[in-house]
Amino acid sequence: MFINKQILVFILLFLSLIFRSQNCDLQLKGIVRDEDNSEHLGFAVVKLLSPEKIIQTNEKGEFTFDHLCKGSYKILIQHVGCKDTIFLVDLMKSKKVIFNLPHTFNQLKDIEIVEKKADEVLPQAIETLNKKELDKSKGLPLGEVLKGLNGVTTFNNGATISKPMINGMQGYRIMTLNNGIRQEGQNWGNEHAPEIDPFIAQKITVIRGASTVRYGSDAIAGVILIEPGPLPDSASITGEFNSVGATNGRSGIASGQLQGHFDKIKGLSWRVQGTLKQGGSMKTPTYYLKNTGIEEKNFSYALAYHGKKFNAEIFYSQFNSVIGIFSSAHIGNLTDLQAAFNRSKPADSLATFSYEIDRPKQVSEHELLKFNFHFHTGLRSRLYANYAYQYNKRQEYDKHKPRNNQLAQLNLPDFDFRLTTHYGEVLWEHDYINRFSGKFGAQGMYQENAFTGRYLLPGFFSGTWGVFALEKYVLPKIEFEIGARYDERYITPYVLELNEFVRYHNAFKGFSFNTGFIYKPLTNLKTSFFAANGWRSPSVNELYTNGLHHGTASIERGDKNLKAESSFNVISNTQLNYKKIETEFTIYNYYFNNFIYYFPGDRPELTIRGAFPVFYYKQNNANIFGMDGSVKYNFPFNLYSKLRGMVVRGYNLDDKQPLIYMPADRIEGTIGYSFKDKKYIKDSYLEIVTQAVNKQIRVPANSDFAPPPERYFLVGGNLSTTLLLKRQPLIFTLSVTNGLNTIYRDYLDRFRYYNDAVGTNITFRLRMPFTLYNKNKIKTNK
Amino acid sequence: MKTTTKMILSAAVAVALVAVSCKKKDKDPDPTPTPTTTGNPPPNAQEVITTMKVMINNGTTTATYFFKDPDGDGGIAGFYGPGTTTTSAQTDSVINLLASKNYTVNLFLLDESKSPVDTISNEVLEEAADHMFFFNQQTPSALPNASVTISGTNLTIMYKDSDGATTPRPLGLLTEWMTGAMTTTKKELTIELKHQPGTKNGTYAPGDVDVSVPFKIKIN
Repeated sequence: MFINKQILVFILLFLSLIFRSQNCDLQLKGIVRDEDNSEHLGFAVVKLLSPEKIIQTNEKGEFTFDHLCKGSYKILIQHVGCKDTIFLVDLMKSKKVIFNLPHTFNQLKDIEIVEKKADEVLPQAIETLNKKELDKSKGLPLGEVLKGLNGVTTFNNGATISKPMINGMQGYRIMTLNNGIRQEGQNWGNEHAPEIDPFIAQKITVIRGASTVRYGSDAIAGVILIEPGPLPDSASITGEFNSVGATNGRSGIASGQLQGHFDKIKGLSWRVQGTLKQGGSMKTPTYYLKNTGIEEKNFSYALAYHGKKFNAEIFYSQFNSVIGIFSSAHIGNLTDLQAAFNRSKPADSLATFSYEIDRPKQVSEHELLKFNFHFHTGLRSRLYANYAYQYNKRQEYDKHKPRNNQLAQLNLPDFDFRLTTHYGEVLWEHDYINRFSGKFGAQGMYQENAFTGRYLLPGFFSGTWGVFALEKYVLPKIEFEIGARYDERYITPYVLELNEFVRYHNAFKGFSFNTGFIYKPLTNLKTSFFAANGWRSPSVNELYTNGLHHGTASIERGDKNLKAESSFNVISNTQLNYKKIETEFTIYNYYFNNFIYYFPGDRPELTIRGAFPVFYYKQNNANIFGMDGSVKYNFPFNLYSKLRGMVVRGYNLDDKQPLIYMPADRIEGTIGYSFKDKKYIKDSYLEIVTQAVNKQIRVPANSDFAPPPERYFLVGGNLSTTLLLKRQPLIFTLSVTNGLNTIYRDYLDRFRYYNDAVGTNITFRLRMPFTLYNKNKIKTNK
Repeated sequence: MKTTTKMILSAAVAVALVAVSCKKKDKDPDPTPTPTTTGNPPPNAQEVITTMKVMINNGTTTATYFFKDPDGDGGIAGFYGPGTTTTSAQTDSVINLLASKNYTVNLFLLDESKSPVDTISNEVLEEAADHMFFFNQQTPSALPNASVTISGTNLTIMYKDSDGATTPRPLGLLTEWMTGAMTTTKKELTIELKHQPGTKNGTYAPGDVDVSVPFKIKIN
């Protein structure tokens, strides 16, 4: 029923495209030229500011905006080697305009202006959260921030631990690039969220569909790019201050960053950034969740030199968090688990609010140190050399302390993992040379994992290397891409067998390919098709894990005979902006050979602490199919509405059963109103967001502790405004989630076994960008 | 400024930044065995309870039943005895009692992964005020004569020891089992040790489960 309704909605919306509205049918054609030599500038970024539209000029420097209303428009044009310039265009009828862009290349003697490369156009479904959208979710864990994007859901452990899922897949099949470097943490746990401070990001991009060639053969589901803003390129000191307060959990966050460009040394710029976060017990509509506090202390800094011939950058970030685990969700054994399911309220439901974090808890630390060099090997090509060091420490404390008082006083973690990763890559990239653009590269990674505490995951060494080539052929209306990659990986774990450590050796290798095309028949219609294969070696935990994991209340057993998993993925994405309608639609399918998954054993296993369910890693052929889309309609009188929906279906082809832990069908509707800009107030809007999530009825038989929870409906909203106090902007955002204080549980929240999801949360945010010093006083547009 | 000078300068700053960033790791002797040194089990500060022994004395002889998980939670599955002392798993254990008899029962908890064997039950005795044994999760009546009647069979268990706290409460390391008439079926009897630091009140509800072993009772 639910799907039928969704299909109906899509059909209705496409039908509605047929109806034409009478206003706003003007066209603006433009040519971008170099002011000095009148050369037409191809591939310049042309940005229409409010309503925001971004396009690129074609090779001849031409661009077209359709469906504009009468009025005056600001247009920002960016091009490599040119100064970012804002032009004012009065549009009363359709017209063609020549834009002469000042060329600053000659003015600065030995410095090339920081490159402003256009966002890469990829044949996969690609979506970005920009500053404005990030303002709505500041202070949330990374996974929750990403939920604003089509096709992204999360796997949660309560409100504070949130793992992103793309196209219904999570964990190892998603690659997260923090400032260009793949994040390497203890990715294996369902309750291990990525250790990244979302405040680092000025922009978060999700590339959906197998991005296996460029990023690594295991980026099967997609890639998350966390990108800080560009460093300043002229003498200045600017910064930003963020503060967030939320009622649920009474959490407070302060985050700030300061960046500058040295006055004396042209090309040398820097940034420091830091975040402090503290939150206490979260509250469901009817009770507090004991021990669900969170503490984070994060900082990062960067120093970069941008020269005419080469650029160099060093970046360091550190993430420290302590996350309390809801104490009733941490259970002793199967009996406790059964008791927890049978309770309508958790055992600790009489708890009151507290910031204190007791056992059970997770303490994690992540360090990233990155060196980054790139040399200009020609006007339109660059050679990159990157090195990154990562150190990830994760300590997990079980709820019960050791029974011995002396040991208990030491308060040691029950698991303590240390993962060290060295990563290096060399890439050569060229922009449009005879309509070809491309990337070639070699990447290598070396890892070491050590542990102490109860045996679960063995210590190991692991190495990976790969080479790839990716070329794109670009015509004005069509682009083709083709790529290939080869990888090898070895894993050497030390596995505990009969109280002795046995060394194993595993080696995997394979090719990945992709091909795709983008078709842009009109400036406002883009459709793409992409096909890729990828493979993933089984991870160390899938192969060798063997032990009791209280965090998930189960005994987990790997299978050392697992083979590599391989996938073939097709994805198609269409974006159409027609008059006042903006639509996007994505459809995809993954076929997996030897899909690795987690499944429950027939009967629980006895330990001295009682019986525990046993989970095994297993592989089968599987298929994942899904589609999602969004439609935004701009009504008259500054009203707008947006509808998003998604459907994912996973199927185990061998067992003829649905795959476990697939997101349920969902639909989200937004109605908003944009206020007119005044002298001191701008970018104001009010929107109401409703979300309906269906019950997940497609689950494998006898696979879960408790049946999936019922469908639910949530209402929330956002109110945002920018105040201008003497040129000092203050951006205020007020967000409400679960506004009706609905009692519900979500299928992909592991805490659903024990407690309701959190109730109403009102979050107040302030962002204050500031300029301390600016020598050139170049007008910035933000 | 020449490019080379700038390169040197930025390199110098880079080195300085690295020096700052390579912060000190934990100062404790690193508990982390790097995989190269593996070959010996990691120093495991974890406490392990491998064995529960139920020693049943009828006045003249003692019968011993046990559950043993030789490598602790996970790893090799636990098994019951007597019947076998090898790892070939005996997954069930029936405690045979005679009708209308009184038995004195001592419980022992051991860590047999250590050498010499660590008797955990002695530590339980030392921390008696924070611990209590329960039978089928039943809350006994108050001391003295604290006892539970196991439903579904004809067995009454009386706590014969106290934790010695200001308000004395039962402990359960020493109990007396009193049987009634013969039964035809086996009845499950789960013996649990609960850790109730600061929360012990004589009931089952507070605290965490340290040990939980299901046996079966048959009265002949």
